[in-house]
Amino acid sequence: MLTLLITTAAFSQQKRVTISLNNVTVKTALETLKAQSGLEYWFNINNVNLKNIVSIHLNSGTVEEALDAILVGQNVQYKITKDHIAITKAFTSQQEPAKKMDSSSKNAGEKVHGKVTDAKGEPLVGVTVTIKGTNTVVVTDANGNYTIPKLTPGQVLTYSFVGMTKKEINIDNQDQINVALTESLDAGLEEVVVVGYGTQKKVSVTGSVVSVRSGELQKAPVMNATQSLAGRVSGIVTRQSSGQPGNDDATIRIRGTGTFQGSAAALVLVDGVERSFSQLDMSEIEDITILKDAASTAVYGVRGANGVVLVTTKKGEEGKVKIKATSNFALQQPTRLAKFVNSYDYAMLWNEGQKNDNPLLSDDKLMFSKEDIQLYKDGTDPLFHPSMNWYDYVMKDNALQQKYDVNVSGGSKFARYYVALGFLDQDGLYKNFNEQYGYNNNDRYKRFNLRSNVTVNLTKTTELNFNLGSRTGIKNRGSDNFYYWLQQVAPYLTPGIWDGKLIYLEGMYARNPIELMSQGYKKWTENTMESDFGFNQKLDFITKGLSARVRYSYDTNYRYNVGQTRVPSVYIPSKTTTDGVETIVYRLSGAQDESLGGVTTTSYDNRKIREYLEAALNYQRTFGKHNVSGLFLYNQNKLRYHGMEYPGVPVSYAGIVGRATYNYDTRYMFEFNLGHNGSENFPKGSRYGWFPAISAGWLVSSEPFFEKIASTDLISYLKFRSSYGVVGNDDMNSRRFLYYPGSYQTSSYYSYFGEDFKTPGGLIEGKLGNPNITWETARKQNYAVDLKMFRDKFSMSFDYFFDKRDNILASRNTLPAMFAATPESENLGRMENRGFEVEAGWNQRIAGIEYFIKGNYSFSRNKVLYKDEAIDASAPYMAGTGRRINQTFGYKFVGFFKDEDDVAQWPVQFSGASTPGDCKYSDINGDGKVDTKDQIPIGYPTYPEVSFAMSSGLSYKGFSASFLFQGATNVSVNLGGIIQQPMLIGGEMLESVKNERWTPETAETAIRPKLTVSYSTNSNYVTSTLWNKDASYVRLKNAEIGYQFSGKSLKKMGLEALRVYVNGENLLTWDKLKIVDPEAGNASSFYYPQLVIYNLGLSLQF
Amino acid sequence: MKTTKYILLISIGILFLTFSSCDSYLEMPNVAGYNEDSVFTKKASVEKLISTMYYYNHAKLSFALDSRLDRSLLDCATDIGSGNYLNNGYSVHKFNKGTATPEWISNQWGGEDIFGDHYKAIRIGWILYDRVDEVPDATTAEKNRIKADVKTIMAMQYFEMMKRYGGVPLVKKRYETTAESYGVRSTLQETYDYIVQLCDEAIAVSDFPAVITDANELGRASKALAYGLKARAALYLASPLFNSDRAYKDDLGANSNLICLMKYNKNLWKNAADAAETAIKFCEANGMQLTDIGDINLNYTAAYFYPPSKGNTEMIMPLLGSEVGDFKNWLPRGKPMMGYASNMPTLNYVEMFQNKDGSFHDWAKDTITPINDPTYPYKNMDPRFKQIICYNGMEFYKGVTLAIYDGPNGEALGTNGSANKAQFAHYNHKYIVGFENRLLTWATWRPMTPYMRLTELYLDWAEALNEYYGPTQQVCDILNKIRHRSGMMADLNTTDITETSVMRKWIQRERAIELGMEEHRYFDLKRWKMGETFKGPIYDLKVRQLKNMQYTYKKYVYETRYWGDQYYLHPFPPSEVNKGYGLIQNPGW
Repeated sequence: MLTLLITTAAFSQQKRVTISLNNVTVKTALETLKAQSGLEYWFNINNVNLKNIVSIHLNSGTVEEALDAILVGQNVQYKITKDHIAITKAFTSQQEPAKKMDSSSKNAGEKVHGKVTDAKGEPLVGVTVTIKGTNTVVVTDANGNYTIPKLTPGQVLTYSFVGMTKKEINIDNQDQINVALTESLDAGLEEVVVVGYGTQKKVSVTGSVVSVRSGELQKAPVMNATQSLAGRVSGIVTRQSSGQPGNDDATIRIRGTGTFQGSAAALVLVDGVERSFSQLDMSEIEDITILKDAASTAVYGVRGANGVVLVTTKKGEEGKVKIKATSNFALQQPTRLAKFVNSYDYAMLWNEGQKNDNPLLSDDKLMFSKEDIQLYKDGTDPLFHPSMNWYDYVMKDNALQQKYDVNVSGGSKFARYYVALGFLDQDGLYKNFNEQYGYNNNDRYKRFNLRSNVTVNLTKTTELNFNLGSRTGIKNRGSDNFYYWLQQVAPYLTPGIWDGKLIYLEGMYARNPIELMSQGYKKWTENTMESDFGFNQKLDFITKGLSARVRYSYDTNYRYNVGQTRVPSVYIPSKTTTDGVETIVYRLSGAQDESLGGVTTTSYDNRKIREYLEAALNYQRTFGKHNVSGLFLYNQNKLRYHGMEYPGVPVSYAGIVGRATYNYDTRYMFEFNLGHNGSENFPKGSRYGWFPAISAGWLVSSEPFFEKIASTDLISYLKFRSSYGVVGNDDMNSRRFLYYPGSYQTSSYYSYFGEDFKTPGGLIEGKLGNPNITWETARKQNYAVDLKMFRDKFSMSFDYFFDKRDNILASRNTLPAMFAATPESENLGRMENRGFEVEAGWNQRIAGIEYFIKGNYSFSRNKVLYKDEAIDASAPYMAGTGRRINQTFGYKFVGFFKDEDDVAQWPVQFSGASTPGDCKYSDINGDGKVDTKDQIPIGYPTYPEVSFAMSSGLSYKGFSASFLFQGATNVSVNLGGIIQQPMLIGGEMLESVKNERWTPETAETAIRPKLTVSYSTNSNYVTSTLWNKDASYVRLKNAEIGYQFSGKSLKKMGLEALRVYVNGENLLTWDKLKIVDPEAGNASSFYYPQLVIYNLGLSLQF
Repeated sequence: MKTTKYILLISIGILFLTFSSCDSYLEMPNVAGYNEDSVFTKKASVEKLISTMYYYNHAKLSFALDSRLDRSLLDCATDIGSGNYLNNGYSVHKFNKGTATPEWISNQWGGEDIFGDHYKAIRIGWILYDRVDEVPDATTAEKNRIKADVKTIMAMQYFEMMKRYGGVPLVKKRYETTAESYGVRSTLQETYDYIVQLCDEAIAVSDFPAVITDANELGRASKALAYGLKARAALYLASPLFNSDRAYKDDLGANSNLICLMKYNKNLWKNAADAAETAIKFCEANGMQLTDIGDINLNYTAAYFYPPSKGNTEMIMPLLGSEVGDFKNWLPRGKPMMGYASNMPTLNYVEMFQNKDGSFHDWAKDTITPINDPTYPYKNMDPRFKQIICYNGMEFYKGVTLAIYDGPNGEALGTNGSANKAQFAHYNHKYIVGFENRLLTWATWRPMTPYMRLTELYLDWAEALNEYYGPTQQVCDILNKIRHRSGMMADLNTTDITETSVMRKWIQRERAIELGMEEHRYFDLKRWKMGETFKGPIYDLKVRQLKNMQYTYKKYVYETRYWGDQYYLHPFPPSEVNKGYGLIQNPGW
């Protein structure tokens, strides 16, 4: 049984059609009608004779009139629904024989009847209803009704319909059985996926492509679209290292890291043009698709090697006007804040550190006297002896986040539109200390999004698209890196603000975090306007199935920054006693008088303009069981922006793309993809490259021999696919014209001359061009199997990949210093990257409850096969070649020195004298001393090798709930900064250090070396296994509970649907790091913390 | 219909062909301004390039640079100085503790040197040398001067390398491609010869100024600098570290000539004396002389710190660093300066200073001052002392007296009473003279630090003469000339000093005082092969205020330090050696 399915975008049946055809087959006529109406057909090929010859002449007729004319003389009926035309056998007396056939029925004459609908309650016409194991078959009528002879209990009724999940009902004693069929989501043979420069039926895809739809993406209450991908699909690792509003893009790596020096970032395209998607409103996004292997990325040729992210925005659908409004209201909190000691502990521990540094130090030389320590403990002298928790002092308990969006969509056969407006206001976590100056030091991000996607059918063969996406983002910032500085101020250093004044206390480290906060603000405004004009012409009159399209995109981006910097006054208090009365006198610190420092305003602007042009010929046709398609496309891209190395010279790309697909009977699939494109980075001759990929698929479950297996219900779908191809990468950290000698750059490396210290400025030589440079080449293999079992309830995909990267753009690291110039990178490196991804899911509906459980697991491991590096001949194990990228090298920590004897017996470390309580490292090369040559690879890379996720959800009537656990492992982080080195230069100290530090008493249990304040024994803080920590984590990434109200009362209010939901992000985290967020990636830097978000949402549909 | 079809097909075909042949779409437009040619179209751009070449002297060799050695002077790695006491992490201590790693010494910010930067200056030199003739808006005289200028700067960079590393690879042209072969170390002799050659070539250029007279050109090279470099290089070559039958360590075997002449040659001292004399004569013939502004209490400061317009007549080449970011690093600890004292003179240094009458204060004995007279032991000291060193009881600036002492029972008092306790009995005063209250006035502090001044050449001359001819009256005269300038009238004479070795000690002492905190001591001790001196012991004073307001000064051992013979020459950065092109590492590293 072959089902012919033709898919296009959805169109309306109200549309008028004009058809003039003489003596064509029904099939051709139907295709013509489809081309004009945009409606899909659902029918069983056995019911419609496609080879009948008909003639139709309709001028502005209805679709019904057209169908009547086309299907004349055929014993069929049809029903037009919103987006498809279902053609079924006419429900006439011809059904009677079926009834008669059922002569075995004991209760002949008694009947069961019922109605079959889709999930929305719309009747389904032509559903085949079978009594399992018999020949009794009936078909539903135009109203979805059916009647079938009464059954005996225990018999099973099967309802099947193209595009719907088959359903079986066990019969009891009912007279009426109403059934709602659901569209088979993943399984549907009609499902279409986005691929490079087009779409394809998923069943025929032979590459490695995964996608996630808007509904799923929107379950995360995140405001940055890059974050929404976390855990949703296999084969990608996302990491969000900061939660700073407006600055919180997650990095996305597809199949790990495949190259070691240039960018390993994926190519991101929004609606086919290279654009960022992080600041799109989540409601604008229809679909995000990840292209992973060579077959799917070859068309991106010289830029596809790191994988491609395709983002598709929503388009209007034909039908009546739909208005949807959503409001979200959320509270944000940091996922985790480090806990620091109070001043009392700090002073005690500082003194301990001082004594450790110099055991002979007399008590009076300790920084904190007994009196000081007592005052810190009592808290009776909060001005001179404060004990501050800066997080409490400076940060709010939680920050608000609001988001509102409204979209309107709909249209006719002539034009369809999707228009959306979004507004976001995300507040930061800091309190404002600058109200009196009229500005805010808090981080805050506001964003306005506008989207208008319009499609117009100029004629029956001509379609115009006009897409417009626009957004304005406004970021407010206080001082840069403020969160980092909060860690750098010990609790005793200042009371912050006292008596309305910023305070410095006399002492070694005079600093005040509020001073930093009062140094001004910056406000970044970024306007982005992205527009596409598309033109699609069917060229069936040349040859059937041929069409051409041209599109032109024009994007502008404008950034503007204003800010003020000021030098706040800081005061040093001191006590003076006059006539026995103690008063506090404030002295201005230095000359930091506001009237002198004053306010300076800075501003800056930056513009970008991108022009993209694409022209393509498309061909798609079916000859019997042979399905062929072809694509030939040319594109070019110019990006102009200011402030780059070659101002005025736009960044350019150009190339052609070819694709040919063939499949026989949707069983054997072959595909050939080709990119021929160039990059401005390379010289003539090695500028353009050919990037071919071949792939093939075998849908075993379509084989005739498989029918037996299929009938057991064990395996319903089985497909093997594999691909091999070559893709390139031209990105050397955004540098340009790699072959061209770099321009001389003005430089801050200048000197002064003359008694007045004048400088003419400086100039440094640019990079030397490399006339032989070309793209790096990735040869990628992919082997995969897709499987569905138990009537599609269970589905699974497994992909294994193996990539080899050659000619990696990398610097030569063995050039003698005498060369003294910066050579351009060369095609030097080689590496490989391999791994696998598994996705599996279970989907079921029992008694009205629909639930799913699914999970994915991705693993990738890379290996540097060659890089040009300086290798210490006496310690070859320290080479990066043969290791993973970002492999940490460090010392092997074996414990702390117990006593002087222990020190004496151990090899000398770093030629410095160790003392008890210092770290003891392994003498790896056994040369009797521990030095730089005793470093070995430790831990995992700093970017996770494994990411995984598990999600589950259920819905029952209007109620729905879902959650997503997401995690990563095989990842390490190296502690640094004050996390590693407490009290360093007056920085804070982690609460945990109190219990973890080495003292003679805690020698057995300590996990940190003895305290120091001078940090002269740096050997305790070198990178070692002591400080290399497992950063694996699992977190409840998001969870959502919602209820959708529907029904008559809503309708009265003019509402189609109303949904209330509560969801959250980063709700729970389990990890081993425990100090900072495990996704921070770098435990020393302290970026703005990652956020927990509790969100309440309401969505209305009119 | 058919024809339309074909026309359409053909036009689409043509359209695509046009697109795909569009190689020029990706071509780099030939716009002027994007390559080296454009630099040599304007004198102004050439000036910028020169400024960057000098950056590797002025900023990188200048100890005013914030990051180098954490703002400590290299003198703090010798017996005369110590870095910040409270924070031994101050990196200059790495030398003293023996924890300096080779990479840190010669290839890290915060370390002593960045080996590759010398060659960066040299490369710019060759680019300028090769192309300056093309500049249309410069006169021939200007072009000739630039060519001599770059040769002198190259010589200077080679000298800076020679004193640190010994023989180094010589780069005699600009390398164009990465494939060229280079990187072999030249012998010490060849390196020296090349320095002399570059200087001679520069001196031969008539358009090269003899001395810098234009106040706007202060900091630029001149013939005087070229002569001075020749004198310096000759002195180093003649010194025991290099001028010896065997290397300080034998590890290099047949390659020992990279670090040693391998044959002692006394005539090198004569060569050094002659070179110094020639340089001095040249300078003086062109109007330079030892600075004397007529105030024995400021003459010394004027000599190392003042610009010519304020009376400095001996500055052959200053290093003009950028404004120093954190003045606090230079200030004494304690109230009210609250400095970090990155440079602190040791008692070893203090002990080198004579009283004005030529006697020495005996610090080995406890000193007890009269009541209310803390400066008692310092009263009659060499006037240079106060211009170099801060001490207890000294008026730091108007109204602020340094009080570096503990109370009778050891309790912190005075300056010590602050949380920011004073920890050392002496603090540096050099380079902040006249700027002591900068924290109050927020005045600009842009130190002009000496790279070479005439006094040094006199000291070079005296040293070479003593080594070759012995302690002659001429040697005494030279030293006395320098001492007189600063009010030290107690003359050295040949009656008292009869042996070369005794005179050598006097010269060394005079160098330590006169050139103290100018980063000579570190290399002087090494070229004299006085490695053991680095070990110390290093002394300081305990200062106590008694109840009756007398003060006691007690000498104590502050620390002993590390020395290893490998320190005689810097290591090349291991990362450089590991590149595998054959750079021979210095012994012991």
